[in-house]
This record gives sequence, C-alpha cells and structure tokens, in this order.
Amino acid sequence: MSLWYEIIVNGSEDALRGFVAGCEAALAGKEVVVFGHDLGLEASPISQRLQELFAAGSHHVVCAPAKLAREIADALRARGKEAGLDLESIREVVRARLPFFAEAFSRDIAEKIRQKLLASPSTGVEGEHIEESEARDPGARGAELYTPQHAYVFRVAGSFVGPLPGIIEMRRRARDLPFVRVKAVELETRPADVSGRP
Amino acid sequence: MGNPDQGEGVPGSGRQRLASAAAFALVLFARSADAGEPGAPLGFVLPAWSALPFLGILLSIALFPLLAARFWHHHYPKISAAWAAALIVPFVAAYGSPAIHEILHMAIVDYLPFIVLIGTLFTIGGGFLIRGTPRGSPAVNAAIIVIGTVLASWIGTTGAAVLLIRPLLRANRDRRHTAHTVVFFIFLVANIGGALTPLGDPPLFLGFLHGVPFFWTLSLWKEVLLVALLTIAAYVALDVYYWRREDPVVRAPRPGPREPLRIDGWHNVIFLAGVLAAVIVSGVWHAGGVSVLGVHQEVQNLLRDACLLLMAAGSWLTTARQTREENEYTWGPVREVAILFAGIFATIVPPLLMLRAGEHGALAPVVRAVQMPAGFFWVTGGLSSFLDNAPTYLTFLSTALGRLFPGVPEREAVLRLIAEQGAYLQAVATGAVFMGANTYIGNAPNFMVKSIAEEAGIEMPSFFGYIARYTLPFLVPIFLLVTWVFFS
Repeated sequence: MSLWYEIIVNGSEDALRGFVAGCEAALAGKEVVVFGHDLGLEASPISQRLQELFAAGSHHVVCAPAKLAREIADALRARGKEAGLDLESIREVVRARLPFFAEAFSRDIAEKIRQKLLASPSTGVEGEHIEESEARDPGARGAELYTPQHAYVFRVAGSFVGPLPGIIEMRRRARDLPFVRVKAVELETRPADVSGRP
Repeated sequence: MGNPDQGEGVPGSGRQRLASAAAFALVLFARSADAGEPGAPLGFVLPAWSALPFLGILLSIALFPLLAARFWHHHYPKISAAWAAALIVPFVAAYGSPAIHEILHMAIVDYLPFIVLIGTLFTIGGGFLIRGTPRGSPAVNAAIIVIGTVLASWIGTTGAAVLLIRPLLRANRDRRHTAHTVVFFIFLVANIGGALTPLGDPPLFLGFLHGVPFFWTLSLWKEVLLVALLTIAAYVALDVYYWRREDPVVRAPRPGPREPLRIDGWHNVIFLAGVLAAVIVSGVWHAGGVSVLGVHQEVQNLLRDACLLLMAAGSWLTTARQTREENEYTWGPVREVAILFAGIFATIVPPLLMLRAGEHGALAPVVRAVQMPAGFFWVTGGLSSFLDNAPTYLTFLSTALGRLFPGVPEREAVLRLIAEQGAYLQAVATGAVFMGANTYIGNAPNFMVKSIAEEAGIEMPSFFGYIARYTLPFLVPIFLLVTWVFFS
C-alpha cells in the first residue's frame, strides 16, 4: 500500500494549485494530489478568504502519494519562495477517518446505502462505531397534510477509517448517494522524518 | 402499576395545570366582562389576550412538525382540543349565551361547510389516477406543472398536488437533480395556482363563506398570470441548466416501448362539475333562511353541503378501489383538517370579533398598523408563510373590514369593500394564497409533497434551505414586482 503525506503550505491557494499542477505534470500525471479544501479538511471561513484576497495568504493542506509528495516538497523548498509559498511541514498520513450520517425514508434508498457504502468498503477501509436503525410507523402511511411523519425511517451514523485513498473513494461514493451527509475528513499523521523529507 | 394517564400522553399534573390555567383565564374573562358596558358587542369588550389560544394553535401547527414531528403526529388531536378548551370554557363561562352563539355560528356557518368542501374535493381528486412514465425533460416537467397550476383552482391545491406529484416523480426518477422541480411544483401547483376560484385554496373558500362572490376571485387573473408566468419561466431556466448537467444516458430518449399516458377515473369530472355547480348556485340563489341551534343559516347553503356530500359519495362508490389504492388514498388528510380546524375555528372567534370592532376593539393597534393594500399583501402573506393561510386570510379580511367599515354587518361590509376598496381584498387574497408557498408550513399540501418526494428518494432542502435557495431568490423578487404593479 502506498504511503501518503500531508503537506502544509503557507501562501495563496491559487498559486499553490498552479505550483502543484506543475509538479503533477512533471510526473506525467501518473499521480495526483488532493487538496485539503476539496476534502473538507480545512474550514474556510469568510475571514480567511478575505485575508487571502487582500493579504499574503494562509495555510493550505495538500495530500499526495509518496513520490509526488517528494517532488512537491523539493520544488517548494527550491522555488516556492518565488511563488510566495512556504513549506510549513510535511507529515506521513497514518490513516484517515470519514464521519458520516444518513437518514432516508424509503427501503430502496436504504438498500442502496447499505450496498454501496456499508457492505463493500474500499480496500483497507473499515467501519467504526457504525449504528444502523430502522423505524416503522404503520400509522403514518399515506399522504398527510399537517402531521407529516414518514412510515419508514432508516438511519445510519458512524465513521469509515483506513488509508487515505480508500477514504477518498468512500467520500466520493457517499456524496453520490442521496440522504448521506459526510463531515470533514480527519487525518491521523506522524512526523515524516527528521529532515522533513519523505 | 403505571399511571393510566400516561397512556394518554397527558400526565395528571398536566391536566391539573390545564385546569388551573382555564380557571385563571375564567377569572380574567369575568373581570373583562364586568368592566364592559352592559349589552356592548363582544368585539368591544373582549381583552386582547383572548386571541392567545388562536395564536397558540397556529404556532402548534407551524412548529410541532418541525420540532417534535413524532409527538405531534400521535397527539395533535389532544393539542387541538386543549387549545379549543382553553378558549371555550372560560369564554362561555364569562360571557354566557352570546359566546355560545358566536361559537355555534362559527361551527355551523364556517366550519362544517369548510370541512365538507375539503373532504369532497379530496375524495373526488383521489379518484383520478395518471398512469404512464414520460421522460422528465424540462418541457415535460414544465407541462406537468402548468397543468397542475391550471387544475389547482378547480380541484383544489391539495387535490392537484396529490394527482400530479407521483407522475412528476416517476418522470424524473432517473434524474440526478430533481429537488428544484418538486419545490417549483409546491410553488405553483400547491399554492399559486389555487388563487382563481374559492375551490382552489381554503382561504378563498372561507372568503366565499363570508360573502365574497364566487366569481370575484377570477378578477385576480392578472396577478395570478404574472406570478405564474414569471415563476414557470424561472423554473424552466433552472431546469434547463440542471438538465444540461445530467448524464447523457438520462437525456437520451428512452429505448423500447413506452407506457402511454392515461388517466383513470375520468368519470369523476362529473362529480367535480356537480361540486362547482352547487357552490356557484349557493352563491347566487337565495332560498330563505332557517335557524339551526339558534344560528341563522341560508337554505341554499345547507342544500349545497348536502349536494357536496352526495358528490363525494358518488365518487367514492363509483371509483375502482384499485385506483384509490394506487393513489395511496386514505382519509388521514380529511381527518387532520377536521380535527385541527375544529380547534382553529373555535379559537378564532375572539380575534375576529375584536378585529371587526376596528378602533373600538382591543386589537385596534393591529387594525391601525396595517394601512395600505401593499401592507395587507405583505402582512397577510408574511404571516401566511408561517401560519396556516386560511385563518390568516380571515383575520386580515376582518382587519380590513374593521378598519374601513367598522360596525357594518359583515356581508354588506364585504360587498362595499369589493366595490369601493377592492385592492384591499385583492391584496389579502393574493398575499394569503401566493405566500403560502414561501415555506414548507405556509400551506397544508407543501409538507405533504415534500414527504412524498422524500419517500421517492429525492433529497429535499431543509426548512431554511428551502427559504434561502428558492423563496428568497425566486419568489420574493416576484412578489416585490406584484406589489409595485398592483398595490403601490
């Protein structure tokens, strides 16, 4: 299984995206990065966005597989200053966690969530504290005008835990399913090595 | 052994508190009754807080489905009864026979005809079933919504919504972006489309019962046309945008034989025509009056209600059981309306009396606060967005009458309002009907449509998401334009 790294960079997001795209191109696009912002890793409050717009920039997280992470880290050390980008840190991603929650009101949708999400997690990914429940209320069948109540409610909540690529795949599947809500991906990391080089 | 009261969901201490509150209200009512001049009309002497049970039941209907849906679903009859009792017991004890007369008047002249009409339209509307699965392209979706908008004024917004929501959902079952289609269906079919006849939306039928001529609502066609055209245009633009983002497989014509569109239960049109005829005739024919429990009621109104019940029975007996089963027809919605509106109509008595008293009533500040037609449009509409629009309509109709024609008998005042200050009634009627679309709780069918769509696998926006993503950017600018064109 390939190692992934979390790279934290200070600077403008647009500059970083351009810089990283150049590094990806240098590897002929064989490996790609994931921006923390796209994974919901970073909260981006309006104050940060304004700061980025008018001032120097802010911190951004980039996750990349080992070889590409090395290229990016080396390139940032060598030429990052020219683009206004500072490499703050680089850490190995030990595992990632994706908290999620779903509430659906038909058996078809519940079955789809079970099959696409719960029954076949991607390689290396496991469910953690997953709680699933079904509630049936025969008295709530048919149309209701003032007292809407679903006759069937399926709920599931918990987290998926595992290697980052697997978690990214689970996040993609979850977002393709109706009634499933995902929270920000949480990363568990450790120092890459003394020099900061992967 | 458990407390037997717990099974009822109202603990003994709760009942004691209710009894204490009723006793307290009785003392306050008694003081108000003593303070008033002997023989003064009730509207002149009732205290402002006697409107609290009315406010309470409206807030219960608005908030319980959002905050405690399960509790509300199982206990709403008790809550409705509690609010009604909180008003009726001290009101009758303090004011005696005039109070009993007002409550009976409301029950006989308003409540029973209202429930009979709602039940009849729901029974007949549930006898139609549309089969077939067209492809949910922007053109097909817009066509279904336009048909529903037109039908809504003739079979009621609830009937049109029940009839068309499932075909619309079937047509869009392969599409990824469908929530906006359901939201615009709520806007147009469940609300705006019902503005043209008293059969369309409950507020307008209440207006009819209070003396607004049946065909007066047709004069709202300009407002309806403007709002409907702009709303459908906004929908088509939005749906074309999403349609272009659908998977090409979804956009391609479906292979293989298609199930043709077909309507079962066509014969129910006859019963619908019977309803229409009965309601119209009751508005133009005067067959004299009779006393029912001391309340004057017109004979033609009693005949109308009997005719409606006959139409409902005819539809029920002649429509195939399978058609109703496939429509998932139940008596649930009629039962809900009957129970909740019993509470609403009981508790609305004091506020209506106070509003009709105009400057002489305890709600004079409300009467003074709303001045111009534009104000009536937005205040009626704003409150109809969050409270049920039928009682809200009646409240502001009474406010307008109290402001412009205080002390004039209601039917005469309504006719003078139409003849001399018609814009006020137009503002109240369109505000109540149009702005019921502003939230899920603005009009009864809204939540029903949301619930049916969710059970079909469509992720609908949250309560505030609906307002932020659809009401504010689409409806509010249209309503501002309506204000400028018609009420400024």
